[in-house]
Amino acid sequence: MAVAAIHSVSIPRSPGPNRSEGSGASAWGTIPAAADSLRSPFRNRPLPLWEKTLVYPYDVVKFPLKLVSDGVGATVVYLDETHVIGRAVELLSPKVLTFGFLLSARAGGATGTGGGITLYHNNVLRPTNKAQLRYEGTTARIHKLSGALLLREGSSSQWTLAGGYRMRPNTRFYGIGPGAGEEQKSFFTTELAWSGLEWRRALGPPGLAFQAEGLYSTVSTRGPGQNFDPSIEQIFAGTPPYGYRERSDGVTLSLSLEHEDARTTARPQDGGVRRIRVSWFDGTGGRDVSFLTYRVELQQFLPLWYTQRALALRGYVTWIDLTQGDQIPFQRLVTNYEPDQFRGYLDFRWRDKGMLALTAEYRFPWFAVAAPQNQGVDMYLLADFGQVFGRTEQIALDAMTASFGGGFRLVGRRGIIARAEVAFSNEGPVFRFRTDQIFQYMRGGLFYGRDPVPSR
Amino acid sequence: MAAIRFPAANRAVVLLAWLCAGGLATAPRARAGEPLQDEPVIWYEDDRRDIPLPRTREPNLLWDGPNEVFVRPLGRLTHPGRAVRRVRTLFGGDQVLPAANLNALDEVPNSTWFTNRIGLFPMTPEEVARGMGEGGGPDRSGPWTVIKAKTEGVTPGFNIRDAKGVVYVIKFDAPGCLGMTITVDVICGKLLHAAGFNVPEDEAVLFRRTDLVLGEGVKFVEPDGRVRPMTDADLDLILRRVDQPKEGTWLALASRYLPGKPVGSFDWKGRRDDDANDRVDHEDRREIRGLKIFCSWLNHYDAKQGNTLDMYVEEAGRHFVKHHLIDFASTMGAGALGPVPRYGFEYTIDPIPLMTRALTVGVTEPGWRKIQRPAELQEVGYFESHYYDPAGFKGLQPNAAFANTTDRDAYWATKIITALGDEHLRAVCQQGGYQDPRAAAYMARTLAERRDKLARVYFQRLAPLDFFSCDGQAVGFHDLGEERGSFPGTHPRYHARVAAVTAGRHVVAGTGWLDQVWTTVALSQGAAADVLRSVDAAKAPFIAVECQVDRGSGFSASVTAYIARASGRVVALQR
Repeated sequence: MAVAAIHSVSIPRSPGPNRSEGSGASAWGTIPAAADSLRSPFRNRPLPLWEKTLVYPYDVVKFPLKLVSDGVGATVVYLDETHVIGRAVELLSPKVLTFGFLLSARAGGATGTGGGITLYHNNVLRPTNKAQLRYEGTTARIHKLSGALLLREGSSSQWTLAGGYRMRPNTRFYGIGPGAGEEQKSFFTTELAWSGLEWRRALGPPGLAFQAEGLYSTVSTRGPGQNFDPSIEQIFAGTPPYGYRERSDGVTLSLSLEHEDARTTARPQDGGVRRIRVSWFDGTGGRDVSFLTYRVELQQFLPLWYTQRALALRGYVTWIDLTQGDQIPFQRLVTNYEPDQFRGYLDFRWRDKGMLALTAEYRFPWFAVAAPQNQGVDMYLLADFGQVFGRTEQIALDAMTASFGGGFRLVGRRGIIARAEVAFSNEGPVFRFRTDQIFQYMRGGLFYGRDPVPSR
Repeated sequence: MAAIRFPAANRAVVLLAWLCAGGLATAPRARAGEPLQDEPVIWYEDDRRDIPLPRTREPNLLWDGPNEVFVRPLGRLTHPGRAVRRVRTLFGGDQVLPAANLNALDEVPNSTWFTNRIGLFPMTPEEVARGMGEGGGPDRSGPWTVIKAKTEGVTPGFNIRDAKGVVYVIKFDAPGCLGMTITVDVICGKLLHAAGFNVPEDEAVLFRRTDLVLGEGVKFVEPDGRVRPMTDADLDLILRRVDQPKEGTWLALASRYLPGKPVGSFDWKGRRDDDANDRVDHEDRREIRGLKIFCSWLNHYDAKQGNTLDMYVEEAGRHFVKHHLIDFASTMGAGALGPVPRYGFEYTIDPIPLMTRALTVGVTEPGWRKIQRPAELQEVGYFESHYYDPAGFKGLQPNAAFANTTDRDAYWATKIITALGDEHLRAVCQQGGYQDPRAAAYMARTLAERRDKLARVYFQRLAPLDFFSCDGQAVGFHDLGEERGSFPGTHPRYHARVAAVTAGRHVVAGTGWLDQVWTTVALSQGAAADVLRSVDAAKAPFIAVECQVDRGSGFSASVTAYIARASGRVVALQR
């Protein structure tokens, strides 16, 4: 065979018999061939008396635990052999399918514990068109339904058509301004509905994009849901915030310029996101109000020592400038809510016309499957500083909130899957579990159903 | 005086304390050893008796992991005997009883698990490189007939029957990893065979499409589960999914079917209850405990139950179970899905490094994250010697047998590993099937460096003074650390003391420490002769020769050889 030639050249062989099979001239002298006199049936060594005396009662105590462990083992084996586990894993595992569903989860941060399901279609008439229908619900009776159509994804000019509805019976209100006290905590219900269109245009340099958005939204407020006490009326009797128990309707037109050169959302080591945005809101309901919202945001990722250590920095300022009307309805004021969280505080802890914040995360690898670049879990330490303000004179160090904490980032093959974190402030610890992150959150926000009010 | 009376609960505590103290106090006696007898040393385990066919034992992969990761470690952690022994380790004891299948020379007798080879017998590099079988893999005097196809999984493959009728499994590397797992599988198999373990005959082979013919009635399973007759187009499809070293040629692993009937994997803990020959708990077998050290050397991180195989075989009319290690693709920095740097350093779920990293907030970098694959050697995975920590080896998951590995077990394994010289390693790596000779040279060099690093750890813990012999005039021994070059740049010096002892190892008369220039202790002259002459052989029928070595950092712990005065036979060795 011709192969023999290849074989003999590429993989040299070692001919010759083996001499050593357990007997013969050895380092201990000659080991004779097997004979009964040289053979022994080895057995376990007996335990010494002291150990036997200790082990017997231990075995008695351990017996129920052993039963449990054996029972769990037998159950796992049974479920595996009957393919129940395999089918469940197949059903729940992430897939790149044209049509399917994704599950999400959240806990903590005053939203209650809950989850969601997203039905998606990644080939609506053509492969670059996507559609999503998403529902989320939590134990705090928050319900959210949104749908979106993304056209020409990845092209230089992409369009998003979206709409949604959200009902939150436990929105918190503490008052307006940086001095709002924790003791003024009260609840109300917000009901938000929106529909809109977004156009995103890639500009010349890589990562630079222009975005225009037109959105109609309506936000109504009323008393809180059952079990959420006290209400705004109880705490702010006689001086409820402007717009309470009213509906605020209007159109928002936004223009933004964004530059993003962070190459991944999982473990970015360099690059960042720079974004400026101007929105104009014009009320269409009973109140004749209009205002401009300005926002500047910078995110930067800096590589540190070793691999995958990075410092993630994020700073932003948002300011609402009233152009018509008496006041801005309180439900349209900026507030600390995703992704503009002050993580040691509950969502909606602060409200006002302006907000500035600086966030830092020091990220480091904690667990990786087999190789550093693979999926795994990273840890991070976080520090958030920020405040709301109604007038620029209110910006002061002693009005600034500070929170510190840490968390875990679950990193999958295609990006971050979830984060779990706890942050501490002077108002105690706040735990959050989310399937998104506060960095690199904006792109496609309308498509992914993020609340468009207040404008961010 | 009134007796002190303890309440019942306190009495239990006092009893427990006494038991623990008893455990601690008996430490030295437990190491003293069996009574001496002037009899031939046992070199064979009696485990080839005729037994009926045991049932097939298939570990469940889904439960095996959690069981090894959580349940068994918890059992070890809470075991009271281990707890007491753990305290005893502070005084030089072991946290477990010694291995149970040892002869008087602290060696492992030949058995269905292990056959002494290079550890005790000289082997040429060619013999080591040839491995298990006749060498060369499938016969090439005729075409290979494909008799079964494996289409599922990351790496496809098929079974062939060669011209001599021998059946082989043909396996390929994962896409993008050409030459990575096949090579390490062959190398590890041959090295573990030379060490003494039972392994399949695995060879790297090159073949062309024209060397394959499709057998009759071969079934092909479609991705949707439908079964239909296999065609040549299916075979072509399998081969198209495989990377080729050059156009028209495929590199594959040919693994010969083991003789006998497979009866499943063996557990690292306990025994087979349907095999009367299986009398020693597996975690207390020296070769299974010592396998940890081989795994450390080879970075064989996937030593799970599923990578073992028991075969029910027949020899001389008797049927018994023979125990094998199989599948070495996940070794030496390679992996079925690609090269892997982490395993060998940490378990898949390893609480201590996770806690350490959390507490040190990433300020330190574990060694495995710094490992780079050698530039330009695409066939080599993450295999290196710089960050290698011989004693810190951890596989994919904890292993009940490896958790019992004592320094004596580790020394025994190290003794075998160091018997493999650079020439042996070069010869074996050349058989791996590397297309780039530099890769074979790199692997041989790295194996040698890891071997030396390993020797410096375990030959330091226990003195590598071994293979004692007596010619009536003197007792000779070998310093394996010196002979095998494990401590370059050092100049060993030895001292020994000689005593006449009873069968119970009680010293009747003895010398003080006698400086030795060479690894020979004279018995027929000097102080040793005076002592031996002064004691009647009937009263003290054995001679104890206790030796220590100093390589510049003080004398080591002792190694004592016991010699029968009547026969001159070395009857026991104690470390």
